[in-house]
Amino acid sequence: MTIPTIAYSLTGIQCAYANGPAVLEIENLDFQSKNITALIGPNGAGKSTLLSVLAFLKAPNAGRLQYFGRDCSNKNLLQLRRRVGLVAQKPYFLSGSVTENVELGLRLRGVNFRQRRKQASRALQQVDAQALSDQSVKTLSGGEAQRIALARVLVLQPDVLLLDEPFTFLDTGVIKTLEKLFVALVAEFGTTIIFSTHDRFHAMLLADHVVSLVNGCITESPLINFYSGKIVDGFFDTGHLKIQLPEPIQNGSYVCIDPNEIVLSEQPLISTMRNRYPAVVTSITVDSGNIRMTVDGPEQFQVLITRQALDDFGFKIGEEIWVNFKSTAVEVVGSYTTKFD
Amino acid sequence: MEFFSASLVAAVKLIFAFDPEIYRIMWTSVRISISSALLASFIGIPLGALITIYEFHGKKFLQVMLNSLMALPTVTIGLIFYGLLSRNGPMGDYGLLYTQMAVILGECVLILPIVVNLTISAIQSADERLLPTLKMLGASQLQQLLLVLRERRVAVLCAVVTGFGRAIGEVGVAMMLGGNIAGVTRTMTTAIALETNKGEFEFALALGLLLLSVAFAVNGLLQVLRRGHE
Repeated sequence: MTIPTIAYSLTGIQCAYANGPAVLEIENLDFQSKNITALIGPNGAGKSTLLSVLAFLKAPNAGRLQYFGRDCSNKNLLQLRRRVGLVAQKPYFLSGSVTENVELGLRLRGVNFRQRRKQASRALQQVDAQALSDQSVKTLSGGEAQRIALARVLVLQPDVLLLDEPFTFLDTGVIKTLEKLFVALVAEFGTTIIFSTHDRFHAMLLADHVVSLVNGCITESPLINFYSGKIVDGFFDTGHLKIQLPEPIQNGSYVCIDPNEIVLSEQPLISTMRNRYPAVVTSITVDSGNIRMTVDGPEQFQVLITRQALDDFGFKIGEEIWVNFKSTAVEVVGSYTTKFD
Repeated sequence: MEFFSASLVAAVKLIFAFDPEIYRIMWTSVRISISSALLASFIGIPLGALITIYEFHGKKFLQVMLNSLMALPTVTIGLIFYGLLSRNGPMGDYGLLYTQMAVILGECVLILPIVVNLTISAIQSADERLLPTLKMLGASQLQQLLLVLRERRVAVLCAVVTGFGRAIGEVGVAMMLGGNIAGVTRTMTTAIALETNKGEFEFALALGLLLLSVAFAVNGLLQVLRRGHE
């Protein structure tokens, strides 16, 4: 029997809390197995709700959810939950030591003491937290708690690993370790990893697929250079700058600008680029061979350029430059109410 | 004032003279109250947990009912159980009236709403991430129930102790179902009522002081447990 290549298949999924409006509305979405998928979107976009649905913690109000080709229902909920692992953004620990918490899932599955200790020790080693094993969970810092929560899920060797903002409290060194771990989990064990993040560049670099969410809906946009505001006389007004739109659009509360379409120059470009703003270079970083520049103007822009372009123009941090882009580089993401400003 | 202070001194002397009658009454009281508190906990704690964790039709109505039942007058329970347990009642054949078991059953019903309600409060005041965490780790419904109660054990213990406090201090059920039989169903509260009527104020006061001491001791123990948990 072959294992389906689609881990999750969502059709017509709708989720709401209590009698409120829908917080998640997904027509069609598939998550490839043995892949890393990133969920990106602003606060309130529905990322955590989607992860709760995928972890079988929240049942959708409508729609069809399939897990590895099988329909999910309340009857097989426990079996399904035991095959996935969710690391929450703010994990909760039961009173006791780190090891007791990491072992908990195994204890619930009836694994014997010796085996539990062995597996817990290995999981703690994977997240570089062996030194914390005997510590009380009450004394953990934010970053340590995040790692222990990950170990608590890794020890269960789930088919699917779901992570809600896993890198929020971690320093760069730990992030690198975890990134390597995720890649190894996919390669060695065929684990499917789905994580949410605010860092769109990080998502694009680590994930095989990126799913963008805005106001509970899937959007094709990568949501980089994502601004909220309103449309006034053919311009999108963010409150700090006015962006020329490609066509007369009446409604829209969000726009994003492709970072590859932004051109940096020492002087404003006299061309078809109708959006030109002065800015200052605030950071230059190398991400997988690309140069990622952050420039602060009326708004902050993220720009991707080649190493060749950086060498040719010799941009430096603190240098005053111009940000130029065509109106066609601007995408109005959707006409939404501003519920997550 | 002189009467009261003289009675107080005499009462303290009775306590420290280890009057066997006083301590027999105290022991009867404590035994009945512990039994009823344990019985009510055995039923009330799982019931409270189930009501909190599961959603069902009529849940709100049930909670309103439980809240109202917390203020149930003890004599009403005494009256109902008297009707049930008396020789002509539906449970008369068991011959339970005027036994410790009758008092235990009556007090159990009296404190059951308290234990259930306080268990519900104990679980509801738990961190909102607790239940999703347990579900996410693959806990079955029974495991969820047991782990939630384990996490909230001190607050649940408070529910039991509050129930015990209500049982040991009540007089209506003990009087109507126990009959205040010396050495069998005479509790501290029924003895205090009786001895006061007889004019044995020192004896009644000694029992009153012991009743207070038991209440303080139980609450003191609870505070120690709570501090240990923190």
